[in-house]
Amino acid sequence: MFVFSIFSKLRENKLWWVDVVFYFIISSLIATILCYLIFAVKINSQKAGIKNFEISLATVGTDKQKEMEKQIFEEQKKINDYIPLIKDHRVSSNILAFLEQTALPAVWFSRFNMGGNDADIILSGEAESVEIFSRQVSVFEESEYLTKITVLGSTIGEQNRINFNLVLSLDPKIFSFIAETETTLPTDGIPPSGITATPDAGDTTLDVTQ
Amino acid sequence: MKVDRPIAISVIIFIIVLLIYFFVAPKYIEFKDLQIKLGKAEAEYNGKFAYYSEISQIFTKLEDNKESLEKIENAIPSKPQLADLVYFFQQKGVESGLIVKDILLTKISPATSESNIKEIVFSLDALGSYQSFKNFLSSLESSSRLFEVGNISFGLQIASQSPPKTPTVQLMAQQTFSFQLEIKTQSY
Repeated sequence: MFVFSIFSKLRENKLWWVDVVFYFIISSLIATILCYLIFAVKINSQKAGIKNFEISLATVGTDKQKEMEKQIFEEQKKINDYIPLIKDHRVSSNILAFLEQTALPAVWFSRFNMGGNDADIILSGEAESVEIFSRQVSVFEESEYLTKITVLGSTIGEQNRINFNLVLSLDPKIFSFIAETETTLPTDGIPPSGITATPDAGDTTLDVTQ
Repeated sequence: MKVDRPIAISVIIFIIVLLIYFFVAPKYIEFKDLQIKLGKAEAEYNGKFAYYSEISQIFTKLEDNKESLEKIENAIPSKPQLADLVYFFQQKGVESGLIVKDILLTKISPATSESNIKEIVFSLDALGSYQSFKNFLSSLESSSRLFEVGNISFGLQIASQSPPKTPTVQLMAQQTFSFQLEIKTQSY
């Protein structure tokens, strides 16, 4: 009843703002319809866009590209496996070069043993005299590659020669790839083989006898 | 015809509410969903495109560095190739002037969860001169396959019939040495 009375009052009084509200509502209706149409058009274009991307996606990551990807990962794995191996790789011949370059004339090594993961070498041999043996130990001690001498024993043998036993602990960097031993150690007077010179020849000698 | 404005206003408001509830709002929700989907599809496409472009570039670089990769391939072959290794040691021994007496496969460590690289260890006994041994060692170290000589032990091979009096005499009389090596290599 109350609503109907309001309607009848509005109809009778002919208020000016009723026209304004009427036209505003009409505009709103048109706007609502337009909104619907705009959304419908937008949705269609979005659907088309998604479809295009889906088609484009099919062209990316083809079998050939996936094969490339697989190959790259395989190579990457190999490189990753290779790096630590090459990093920790030991060039054992550097130890021989070290000995050739530090061995004094008139010192003969009768036993050489390098084992395990440490850079320890066991040497047995003979020196011409105590002085020469002492000088040999001193030369070893002066080497930048020697960390310590753990065993040092000597006895007087035949013809007053000194039989000795040494255990040298070397710096593991001696095993590194760079031929540092060749560049930093003196190279004068080293015979090509390093093992054939006699004490009298005055050459640096690495004599290996048993 | 004269339109009854107040009633018309009420009817139109009602129609607008109905239109919004049943047509415009669902369309708006659909529009928003599709907007998100479109963004995702675009991002996925751009990401994949950039990724595979990078893949293609890296692959080209790999192709350019094929030589280095072949070196790695040779350094760690896909199979242990034990027969090839034994032949290699024998051949390099002969080339260096060593007589390879014994070759013994002492260890093949299984692949672990951390690494699928197997470590292969050979024990090798040989006879020859010190220079030959150095040549052999050098040929192992310069080989494309990665070899590491772990243990080295050697001494002069003594002539059994007449033991020498001094090491110097030994050296002068007999220059054949006996070498024992432990050679490590790897494979997948």
